[in-house]
Amino acid sequence: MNRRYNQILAVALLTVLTAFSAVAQNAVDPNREKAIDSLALEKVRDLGKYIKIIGNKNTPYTEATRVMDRAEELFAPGSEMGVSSLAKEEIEYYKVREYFRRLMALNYDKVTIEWYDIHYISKLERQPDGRYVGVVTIYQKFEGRNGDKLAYKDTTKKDITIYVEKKETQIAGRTIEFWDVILGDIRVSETTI
Amino acid sequence: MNKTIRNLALLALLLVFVASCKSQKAVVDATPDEPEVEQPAPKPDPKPEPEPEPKKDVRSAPEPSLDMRLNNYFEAIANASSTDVANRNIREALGLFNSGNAPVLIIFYQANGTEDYDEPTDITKYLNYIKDTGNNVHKVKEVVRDPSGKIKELVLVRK
Amino acid sequence: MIKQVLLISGIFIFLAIQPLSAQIITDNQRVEEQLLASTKQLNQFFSRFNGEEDTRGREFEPDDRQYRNSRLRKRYLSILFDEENAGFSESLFQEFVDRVTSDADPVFLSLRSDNWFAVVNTTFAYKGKSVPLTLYMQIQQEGLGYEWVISDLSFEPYKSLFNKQRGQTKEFLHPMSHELDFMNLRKAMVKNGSPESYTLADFKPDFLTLFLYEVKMGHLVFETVNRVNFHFFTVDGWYFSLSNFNRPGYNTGWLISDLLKINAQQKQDLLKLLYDKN
Repeated sequence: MNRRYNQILAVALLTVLTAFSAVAQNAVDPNREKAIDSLALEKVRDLGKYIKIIGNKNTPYTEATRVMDRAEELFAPGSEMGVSSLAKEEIEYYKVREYFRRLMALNYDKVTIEWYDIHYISKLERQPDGRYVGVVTIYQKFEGRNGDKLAYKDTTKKDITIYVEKKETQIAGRTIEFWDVILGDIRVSETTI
Repeated sequence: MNKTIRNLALLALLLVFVASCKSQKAVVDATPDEPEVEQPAPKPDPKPEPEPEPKKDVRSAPEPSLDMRLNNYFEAIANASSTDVANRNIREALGLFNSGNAPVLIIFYQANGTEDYDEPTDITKYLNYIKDTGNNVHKVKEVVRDPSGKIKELVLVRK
Repeated sequence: MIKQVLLISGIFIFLAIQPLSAQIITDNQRVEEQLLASTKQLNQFFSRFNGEEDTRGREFEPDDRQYRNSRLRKRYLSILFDEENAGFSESLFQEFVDRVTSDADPVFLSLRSDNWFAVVNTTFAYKGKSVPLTLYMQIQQEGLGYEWVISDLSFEPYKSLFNKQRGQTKEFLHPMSHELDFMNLRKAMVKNGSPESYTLADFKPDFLTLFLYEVKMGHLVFETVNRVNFHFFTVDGWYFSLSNFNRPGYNTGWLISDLLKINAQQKQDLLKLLYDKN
């Protein structure tokens, strides 16, 4: 009987929540906003770890492919990487998957990818469709070696689009409201450092 | 400097934790130069009480033994020395679940009685996530078990 | 010169929050200090300008004592301009800082501020060639939030396309054309001709419509973005622009690269110049 009561309560609550979700989204409490920021940063870090696995020459092909799938799941469909270097300042565009494939195919014996301990998270801004959008900036150091010789290195700034949206889904007959935090386009620019 | 000390402290804690978990079921990485310690036979689980309502799923906080088993798997997968070791642990851990697609809900923020969830995932994806990222940052808050005792839903929360 | 040395050391002391005493700074630490100092996003430029974040980029709560604190803002502002090539004097900059941090009427900036825009230098493919095209972009409110939109553009091939002649030398449809049912239009409306000659005296071509049409028709195909700058007329009586400086050191990222004190007439002239409408 408790269960029944809970169900009624849940349905009532849900109705209220749905009705006020627009308002609730506007009045995001600052601690929740910080938690969402952390969640976004965690997804960015996850991406970094996936990129490391994909770039690692010791990763078996099947593992790399699986990890590429997982990494791709972090992104909104159609997301692109816009890449520029000091030598070539205009932006070249790659689909996320294409970028991963190129990373995997790089011709170095050993690839090291490290992240600097500096990041910057913008405010979340609301866009016309009601979703929130922000940008997380991180810096990455890349080194490609052939044998013991350093063949290529660069440091890039990555400005990563983050979309935040409140969604609902059914889990075993229950409605679960969750925050969908997904990555979007990434601007990759080489720095002089 | 401070960071180093903190890392050392963390490492020490971790070692103590891993050592204390040796008797648990999870496949703990053995360093190659150390002879494999014979694991004591796992204690047979106490006979389950006859369920009053055997058809119902049960949602509850995990009992301490299950909690520890899951945590040990998470730990072993996150810190596995190789993909093979991690995969072996994933296969074993999946044995606790009624399906590899059992939903996993992750609470990333709770305040004033409301819980904020990350996008729901499933147990196979979640265990692989731990493997790929080495992130063992969640603990078990709730499990839903089917009548046979297998886990059919997992609710996690940040440690 | 002295000003620069002072500034650089000031930035260093201001931003180097870890104690450096008797500690060897590794390359990594040096790089991270530089990245920390860099104004990494326009968002960060706003936050520093407004005094809304700490040196590690963490937002202050509005009830924090530091939030929008004018002393903090002055310190931030001292690192928010390009100190290598800026063509404005220190006294002018000081006057600007005093203006925007004044207790009576402080000025804060945000995406939603009035009177600012982005100039985006792009490349499009046009008639088989890659050609530069400048887009002028603004933020506007729409639906449940905000969006960037194209307000205008500048494109060299368009500029001379409608250069309409006036006076005695121009082409025209003679004033008795009506008696011939305007049969002479056949000679006026020809390819590569100057049909603009047959328009009202105050005819002004609408390049944006033309641009949109050519994009739709596939005549203009976007290739890439080359550079972005921001121009602000938000502070009454002042103009400043921001450029992104990607260079070694502590004075990098989005910085004020140009600063002018302007009256209403100068503002109009400057806008004309920036929008390439001469």
